Order: sequence, then C-alpha cells, then structure tokens
Amino acid sequence: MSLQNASKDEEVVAMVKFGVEFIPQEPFWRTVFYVAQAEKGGFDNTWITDHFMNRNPYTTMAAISLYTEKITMGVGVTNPYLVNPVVTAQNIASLSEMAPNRVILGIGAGDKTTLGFLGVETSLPVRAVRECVEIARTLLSGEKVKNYDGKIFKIQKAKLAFKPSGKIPIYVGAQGPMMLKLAAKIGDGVLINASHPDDVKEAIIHLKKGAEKVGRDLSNFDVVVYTSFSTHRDRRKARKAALPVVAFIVAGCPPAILEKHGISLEKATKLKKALNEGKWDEAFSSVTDEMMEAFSICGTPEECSEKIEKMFELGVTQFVMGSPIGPKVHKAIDTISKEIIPRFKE
Amino acid sequence: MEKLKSLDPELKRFLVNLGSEQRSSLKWDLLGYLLTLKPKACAGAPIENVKLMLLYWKYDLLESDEGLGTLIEICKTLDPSKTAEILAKNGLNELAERIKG
Repeated sequence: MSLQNASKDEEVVAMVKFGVEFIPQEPFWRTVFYVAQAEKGGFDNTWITDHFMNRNPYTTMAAISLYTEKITMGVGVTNPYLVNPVVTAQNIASLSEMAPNRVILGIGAGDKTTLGFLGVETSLPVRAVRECVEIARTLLSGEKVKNYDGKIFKIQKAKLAFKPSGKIPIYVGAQGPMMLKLAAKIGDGVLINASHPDDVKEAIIHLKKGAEKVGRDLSNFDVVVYTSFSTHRDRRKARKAALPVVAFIVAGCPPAILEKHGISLEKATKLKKALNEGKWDEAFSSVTDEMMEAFSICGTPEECSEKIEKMFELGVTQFVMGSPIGPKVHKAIDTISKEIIPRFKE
Repeated sequence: MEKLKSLDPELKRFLVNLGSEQRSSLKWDLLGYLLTLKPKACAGAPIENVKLMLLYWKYDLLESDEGLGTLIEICKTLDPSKTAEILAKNGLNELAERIKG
C-alpha cells in the first residue's frame, strides 16, 4: 500500500505489516521469547527501543536473531547525540551479518529528558538526524565518509572494514512537521509516535509535503505508526493495563497537544503532580476516557481491529503495537496473532 | 535437537507418558509463571537452561520431554514450591512431591 492509493481495500489486506515494540527492561530471554512468539504469530517486525538505562538494543537484537528466522528487527529509535553515527553504522552492520536483510536502522532526535540527565545537549535535532542518516547510509553502502563537514558532525575519514549483509533501510522517528518532512525526503520509512487517527492524518500531510518538495514518490515508503496498545477480551482489563502508560504520556505531553485532544489542562496537571509524588493510585485514577482515546489503542480484539483498520485507511503501512500490548504480554501476543492479524492478512 | 542435553532419566520417566493436551497445558502454565515473574526474581534463572528453552521454543519442541524437562528445571531453580503447585495442577503429583521434598 502507498500513500497514493490508500483507499484500495484489497491492497490494504495484501500489503500491511504488523510490528511489536519492546523496551528491553526485562531479562533478555523474555524479550527474545516474545519476539519469537510474535514471529510465529504473523508479526513482520519488532522494534527495540534505545534508552541508556535499559539493555542495549543491538545486544538484544543479536540474541533475537539467534532464535528467530524471518522477523525484521529495528532499533526504534537511536539518536545522533549519544552515539556517534559511525558507531551506530558499525552496530547495525554487525547485526546485519547475523540476520541479513532483517535489520532496520531507526534514527530520531532522542528523548530530551533522558539525554538531559547525561548533560547531552540536543541542539538542531532535524539537522542532527539528517547528518546522522547521511553518514550512516554512506558507511552502510560500503563507501567511505571523507571530509564530512556538517554542522553537528565533522568526520575526517571513516569506512567500515567489513561489508554489511543485505540492504539496511533507514527510518526516521518523527513527531513535528520539520522532522516528518525530512523523513519523507531522506528516509526509507518513518516511525510516527501516535495512537489517534487525527495525529496520524496530520503527520501524513507533512510527509506528503516533504515528498513533494523533492519530487519523491512515496509508494515504497513505509509509514509506521507506533501506538500504545492494549488488548484483552475483557475491555476493562485492556484499559487497566494501558492506564499507567497513558498517565506517563499525559504527564510528559506539551499543553498544546493536550488541548488539541480536548484534555483539560487542570486534570493533566493534577495527574502529573500525583505521578511526581509517587501517588500511583491517584494518578492512574485521574486518567480520563479522553486521555485513553488520545494516547492509546485499547479494547477487545474487535474494537482494536476497527481502530487499526482506520490507521491503514489513512495510509499507514505498518502498525506497531507498543507498551503495554496487554495485561499479560504473552497472552496478548497470542490474542493478536489469532484474532487481529488474520483479519488483515490472508 | 532432542539430544541437545540429555534429560535426567528420573524426570523423563514422569513426562514420557503425558498426552498432547497435558503437555500443552503444562508448558503454558510453566511459561505463564516464568513470563510474569517480577524481573528481579528472574535473576537466578539458570542461563544455559534458559538458552536451551529458547532453542526448544524456536523449533516448537517445548512440549517434548526435553523441552518440558528444561522448563521444569528453570522453574524449580527459581521457586520449587510454585513449580510443585503447577506440576500437581497438571496431574504430576508424584513429581510435585519430589520437588517439594
């Protein structure tokens, strides 16, 4: 499916992909188990997040590669500030040797708050991501980066001493208009962090603008939507599992986004205060239906499927189920594999 | 694949006559325990057995005698009484008693 012909239902069925995101917070073998389970259940991709306090995404993906055979693995996403693009290229190229044509490099601006803990400045994010993509792509194609004189990176001479196995697509993690446009200009795909169709619709408008600017056809461009997802046959259980995730999203959300979704700033402030004070019950009970609707996709498999279908109709080509996935991850993967994915794939 | 690690013959004796439904139920009960343990409580999991478990999972052999045996070994290391409870629930009372013992 492409952004140009998103309305053709038969193509929606034929071309859509499903992904599952994991934050490597758990022992490595659990993440590996879940990904292998997802592969058996018809998922196409897994995305492993990159935050310094969690397990390393490349180590995690290396372990995954040993116990899976076809699922594609992406770092979703790394950033140009903490890891030099040359090292990022080295990491992903090394991984490609273990899983040829099964790896994707996701690059985004990074999480300002976590990078701030390390004293890392996140200036000129669009520029930093652009330069990172340029450098990584050159190295991954087996070429030399010579006298690279960017605003962020200065590289005199760099070349990998080994050739990556297969093609390694580069996706851009994007939220704002500028980054979305950049993704459409230089990426093989985009990772959009959004769970509400209005946000996705808006993001796709920016993608189209970016593509038009460089005269690019987006027919082979992967539009990946990263959602906070929770499913269970009992909708209350699905909702309960998603509550903490949504509470943290609301607490970190800029007021403009909250207002856009009709969320009371007063309620959001109260929730944030409760979270900061560690009053979990108070915080989670302050999560409203509007907040759930804006920042998660949760419910029974039928309810979730309807929402997923809307995403595909908008032009999304890959739907990623992110944290919490369900009250119990292995059971949720089983439910998704049996009751959601088959509705979209033959 | 099943010869990757020889299973304790004593343990195998209890598993060899299990039917396919019982194997599936036992597998998911043991996995359910392992996958919902608090991450900190997993620290003592015997890593070589865990890697073996992943290999059996990859090749759909977790319901074999060796696969189930490996799962039981991992669970037993982490919590013998919980493991015994799961085994008893699945009709393996004698094995449960031995593990508790």
